[in-house]
Amino acid sequence: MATLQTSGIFQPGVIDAIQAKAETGLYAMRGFGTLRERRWATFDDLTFLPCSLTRIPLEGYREKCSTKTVLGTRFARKPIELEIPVMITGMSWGALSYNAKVALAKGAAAVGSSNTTGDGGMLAAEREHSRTLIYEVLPSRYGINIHHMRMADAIELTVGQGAKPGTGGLLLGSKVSERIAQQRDLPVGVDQRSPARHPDFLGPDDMILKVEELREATDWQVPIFIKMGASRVYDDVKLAAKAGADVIVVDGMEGGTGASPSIFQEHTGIPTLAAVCEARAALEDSGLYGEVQLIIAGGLRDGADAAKAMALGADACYIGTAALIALNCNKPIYIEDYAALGTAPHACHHCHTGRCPVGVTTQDPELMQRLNIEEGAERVRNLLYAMTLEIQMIARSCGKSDVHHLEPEDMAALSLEASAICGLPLAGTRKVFGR
Amino acid sequence: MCGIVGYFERGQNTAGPLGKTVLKMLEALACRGPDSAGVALFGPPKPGRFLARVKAGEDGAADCTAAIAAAAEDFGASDLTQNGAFLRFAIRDNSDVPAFLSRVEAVGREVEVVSVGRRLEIVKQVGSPGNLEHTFAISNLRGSHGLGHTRLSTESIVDISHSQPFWSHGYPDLAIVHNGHITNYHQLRRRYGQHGVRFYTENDSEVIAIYLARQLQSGLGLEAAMRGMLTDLDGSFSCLAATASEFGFVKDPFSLKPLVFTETSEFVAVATEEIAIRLALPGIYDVREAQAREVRVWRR
Repeated sequence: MATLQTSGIFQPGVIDAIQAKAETGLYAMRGFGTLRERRWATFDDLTFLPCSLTRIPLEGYREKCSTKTVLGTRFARKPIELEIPVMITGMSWGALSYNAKVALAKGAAAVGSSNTTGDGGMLAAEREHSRTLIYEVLPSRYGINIHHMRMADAIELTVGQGAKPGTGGLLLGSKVSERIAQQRDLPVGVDQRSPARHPDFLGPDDMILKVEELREATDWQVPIFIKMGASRVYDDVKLAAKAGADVIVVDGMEGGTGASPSIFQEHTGIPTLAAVCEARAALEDSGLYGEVQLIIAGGLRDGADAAKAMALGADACYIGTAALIALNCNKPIYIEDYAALGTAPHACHHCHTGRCPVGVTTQDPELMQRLNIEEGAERVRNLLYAMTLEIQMIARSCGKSDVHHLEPEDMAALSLEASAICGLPLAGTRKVFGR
Repeated sequence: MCGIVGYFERGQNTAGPLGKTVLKMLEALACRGPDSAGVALFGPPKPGRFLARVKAGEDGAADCTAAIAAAAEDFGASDLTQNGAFLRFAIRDNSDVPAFLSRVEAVGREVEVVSVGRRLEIVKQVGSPGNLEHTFAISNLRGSHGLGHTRLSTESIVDISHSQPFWSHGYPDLAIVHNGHITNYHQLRRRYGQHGVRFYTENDSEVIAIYLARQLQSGLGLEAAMRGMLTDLDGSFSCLAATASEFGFVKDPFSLKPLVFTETSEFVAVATEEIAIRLALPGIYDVREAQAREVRVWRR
């Protein structure tokens, strides 16, 4: 029998997607983040160049390699000081269950790191269990509360998100439980669409006033972060710096989401690797490299990704999806419940349905019980701790006594694209392509 | 990777046989650094003038000598001599040093002001210390304290500019020699670069001179400035630094590079290997190893 040949353009998934649209007249919606096979340059296109003869590596146990991370040194009276450079990104109570939010807070606190509120306001238990809590101020204003803001250790003014820059957050009706509806001051069970732009300002000029307002509200004590989805990163970072940000967060296109149109996740924004390079260039050209801190987010998986992002210029990294995976996301347990959603472990991106089989992205009381807060916190702690050890190992092998001393020049590119994007020689040559 | 030496004479004499001593010390370490050799010597002060050493070209083919001399005229240049790749002349000591640099270095791509100071003179050359003596007769130079370096290049090219000692361009009378590698060099370079600081080479050691100059400019003494290196600079470093009146060393927190020193009532001597001190300075004294994070500075 002759081998069946499918189209390289109209692949089975494409045919299914077209037919689904033809049936319903609706675009596809889902959670998790981009599912495309990664054909663009990523952190995997870089490799570290540890010490050999020209430099001396440090010993793993005897020779200390600092991971202390200070953010907000530009204007804030009380910069935040973290024990490690890996932080938990903002994910809303609403997208995430109560148990997940509290587990993240406890897990981060256990290793001296931070966590962030998200598009749904601050939970009392979240504040209580956080060591360092960043309060997100989003276009939706859901759950926003000046008293909560004043209890925070930093404020993050969110302009956009890497998974879907240029559009607002989404929370489908199945997750708008009574508790969530009450917190957000909205009706139960109705889809919620957050605004695409901030109602409080109309561009970067007005944003300067907004930043000032947030400073006044918090008495100039805490750092103000400005977070953006990675789009025109070079110009955006310059503008955020001009607007007076202490810390700039750039979230690449590999960033996760609780619910977004698939088309945004796959076709908007630039990759995290490219974003960090543009962001550093913008800070250098503004003369603010080292003065304004840079946090990079978007699909970071392990210590290698984090170390590469830091070497390219980030002062710290956010993880989101990886932290949820630590909480059992996509773990092969409750397999029948994955099947009921039409999916399976390792392939689940059904956060938007509110039927998360492992209790992470759900408001269903029974499903939520599947995530034990203490056990979840321990796993988040372990992941952050192990990632930090990985970053330290790389840093020591490169002869650094501080993980923040990693530099682009500690790496070589493994693809022409990465060479051109990062301005690093292609391995095996002394040539930076595109220069 | 490299050999470094330093000698500091105690007492009031500023015209001792410094060149001879430093050369002897350096020759003992020639095998550690076959690529180039150089010294930074602090001679007797002559009020009213700065002494400038200018590299006219890497090959010594100094066809721009006349142009350099003309450019230096506005700064009251006098007593011009030429030796190897270098021009040596005096300028007024109230000269605007950065203006002098940009004026003279505009003459040609390879023109570099290698040192300016009331007391400091740097000479360096590709090849062995013997070669340095042959070209510049450094053993005839007199002074109170000085540094020397023999280089085995690691990640940057071999030429005069990339050789040590480094002067911190623009800041009179400050020189350093360094053995090791500064692993956050590119990061520091980027930070300084965005504030318009010019780096002349790709050699990581250059950043030490720039760092110390900025620390001194901000009002710190040499000891505090060198102590700052323990937190602000990463990697391996046994480093000597000297100004017109101070001389000291710092050793990195993990003691990754060798350094020994001796201190007598007449002199202080520091070197990568003990043999450099013993061969150059007869007498009975102890030589001890510098410890991790140790900073010592002597003043005159």
